[in-house]
Amino acid sequence: MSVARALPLVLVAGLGFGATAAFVRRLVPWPEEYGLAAKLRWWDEHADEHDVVFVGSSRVFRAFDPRAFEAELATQGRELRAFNLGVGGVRPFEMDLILRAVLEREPKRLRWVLYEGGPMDPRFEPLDDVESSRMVFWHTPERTRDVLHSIAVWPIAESDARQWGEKHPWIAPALDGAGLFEPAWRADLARRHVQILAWNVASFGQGRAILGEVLGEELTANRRRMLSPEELDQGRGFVAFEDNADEKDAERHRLLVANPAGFAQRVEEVRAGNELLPDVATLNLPALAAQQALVRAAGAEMVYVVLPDRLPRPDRRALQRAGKLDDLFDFNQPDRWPQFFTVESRYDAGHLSGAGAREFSRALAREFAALAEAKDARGR
Amino acid sequence: MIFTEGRFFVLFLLCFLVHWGLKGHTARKVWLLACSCVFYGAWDVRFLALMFATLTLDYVIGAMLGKERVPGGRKAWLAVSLVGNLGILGFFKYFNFFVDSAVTFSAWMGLPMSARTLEIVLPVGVSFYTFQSMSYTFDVYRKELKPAKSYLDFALFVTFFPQLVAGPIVRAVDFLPQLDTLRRWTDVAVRPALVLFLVGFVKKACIADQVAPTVDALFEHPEQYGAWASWIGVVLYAVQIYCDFSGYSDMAIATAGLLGYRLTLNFDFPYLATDITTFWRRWHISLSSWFRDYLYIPLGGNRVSPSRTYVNLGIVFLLCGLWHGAKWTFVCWGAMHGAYLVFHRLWTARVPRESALAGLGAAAGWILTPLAVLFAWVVFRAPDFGVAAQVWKNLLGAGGDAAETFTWRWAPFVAVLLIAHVLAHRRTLAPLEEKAPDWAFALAYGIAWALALPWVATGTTPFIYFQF
Repeated sequence: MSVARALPLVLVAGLGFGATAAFVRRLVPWPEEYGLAAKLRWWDEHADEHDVVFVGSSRVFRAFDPRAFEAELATQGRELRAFNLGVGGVRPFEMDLILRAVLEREPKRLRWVLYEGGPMDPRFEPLDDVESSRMVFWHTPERTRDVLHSIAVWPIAESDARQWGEKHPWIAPALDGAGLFEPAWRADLARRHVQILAWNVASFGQGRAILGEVLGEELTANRRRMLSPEELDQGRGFVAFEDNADEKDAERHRLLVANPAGFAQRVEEVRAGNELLPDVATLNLPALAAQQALVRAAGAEMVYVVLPDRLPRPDRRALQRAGKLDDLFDFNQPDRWPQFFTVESRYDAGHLSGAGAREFSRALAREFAALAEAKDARGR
Repeated sequence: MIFTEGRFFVLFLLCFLVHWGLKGHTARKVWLLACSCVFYGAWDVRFLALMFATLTLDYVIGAMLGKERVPGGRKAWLAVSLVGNLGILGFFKYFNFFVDSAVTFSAWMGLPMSARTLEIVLPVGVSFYTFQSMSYTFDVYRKELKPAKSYLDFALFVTFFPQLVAGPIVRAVDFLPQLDTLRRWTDVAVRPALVLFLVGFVKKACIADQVAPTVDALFEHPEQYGAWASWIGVVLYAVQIYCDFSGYSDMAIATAGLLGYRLTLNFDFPYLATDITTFWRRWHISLSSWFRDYLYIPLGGNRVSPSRTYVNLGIVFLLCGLWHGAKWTFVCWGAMHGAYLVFHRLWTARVPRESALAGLGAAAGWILTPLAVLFAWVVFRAPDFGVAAQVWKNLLGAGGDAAETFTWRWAPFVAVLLIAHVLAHRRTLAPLEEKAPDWAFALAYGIAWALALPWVATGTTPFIYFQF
């Protein structure tokens, strides 16, 4: 068989593969871990009942109590209904995908999207779930394109360079000498993301999840922190950390309580780190703008919220100062919100306790009411 | 690097394109040798040195055997080869096993002793390439094969990456002549090779790796499972080891075929065998025929007295078990199969072929053969005899009341696999593959891959036979 004859056949095989893979991909359900799929299913059924949705990570899941938020708003004369769409382990690119799923449902009453967001960090290193179904699922062609943009602008840290150099000891010195270390680091990072995109497109390893969806059963092995419809009805997406912590969580809680001085030190680091504003050009501005445009197109207002954390989070403040964010509530400020920087308000160093969550939700409601009032006034 | 990894696909595509792009015969062979070194070196570059030491030894001995005319001298060279090959294999694979066994035995005899074992890394596929290399020396010694014409040819014969780490164990007499002539693309049976690769991939990545966690769960805590769950687990292990190993062989034969080389068949639907002798003619054919030709027949085979034949069978299967791993559980597995074969020989020798009893035996063979194979797989898979005994007790319903179980859905899954197996044996779909126009085949092939990939078990599970 000649090359001229083989090429069209390769194309035909590619077409068959592509069309079938695209069909199969549509059958892949959202991953169940940490209640992600359960929350989206619930949202699918109840989206039209809500005025406010808060999309974010486990910090949101453990901090935003919709009922406390609504009760406080009611005292301010606002009757709104809210849902907590915080999911453990979510990072900004996946959050973006969840935001799109929330808006795709075209919720009739939705007027406010509270959004945790965060720097569009394309690196894998802080995570141990590089090949998880979650990671593969959000690597859609569009989100991978966002990642590739982030890779182009993200600053390479000294620790990244060191780690990459240690992983590639044979070639790193030569690349460094030729001034190609940084492009190689970026290219390697891009290669790994594109590989995960390929898995996404081919629905690699998703057969059980698809079959489970067809059979109406959960057949995948990872059942971490699934949420029942009853739990969702009761807490509207919120579960206090104390109410379903596992052993690892409890260990982190014990560490926090046993070492208040260590926590105080962290708070100092948050205070200092917040002053080090990053260059906004490194924060993937096109993806951020697209995100905000999407929410506006859905007829809602987008408010970025920085939650009380164990690390400094100066990125969104930098973006707001640069005029890239309309509205921002920054609760990760120990001086302004000292009540969220006590051991008593935390379950572990990075998450609020049940009591901290109620207090936070009320504080958020007050901030929110003031903003809504201002917007109403401007509208009038 | 394994055949189901993305990087293997990249290496193979590159190897394939350059191989067929090169015009020179020698250049192609050098290229294939280089690719084989990259493939094997991806595990550990140090393993390459050991492999080249083995093949260089046999190449030199082969050359010496070609020149040596004195029978005593020829025997001496053969002995050097045996000592060298078995010495390397024995050291890397069996040193700690024999030391541990000696210590245990002396303690049992009431003579406690201490001995040091070594931290030895087992080179991947050492049993395969050592046997392959040894077969060359045997064949040259017996004058059934002329010594390899060049070191390049011999090195490529041993290192040829499709069969390097898990077989089939290729004979020099089958492979070296293929290196004499330039391979032609027009001689390549592309469709069968592509289909075989996909079938092998599905067997390994979509079936064997999918069932592996269930099997692992049973053999990790057999006391937690009852009879039904244990039957499911053991049947799934039979599925796993067949799909894992025959899947690898399929991919090996297919990749070699796409490069223009023919490897020997390694599996021929062994689970459809209705007696144990036929099972061994169909399971890991390249290994069983190796033992037959280089051990069983030199021991006298079945040309000696019946009792001696049974002893020969026992020796062969004990060593066959030991070949699989340095553990007494493997030896036990070999002994069980040896006993099965002896029983089958006794039966066929004593029961007249036309008798009613023989008919009854043949019918019982449909049930007893898979049962016997399943019972033996238990000790093959178990980490020790305690676990094997517990699983055997579970299978017989004497394991106690355990609560854990596996989903009933494995039963229809196995039934579907069995039906597919029978259909494949009857080549039901072969006419479709052979007669379809090229565009239809290409389209179907693309669709088949898109339907297979979702069923790949995530996470890379190495091939079971790599450890041997």
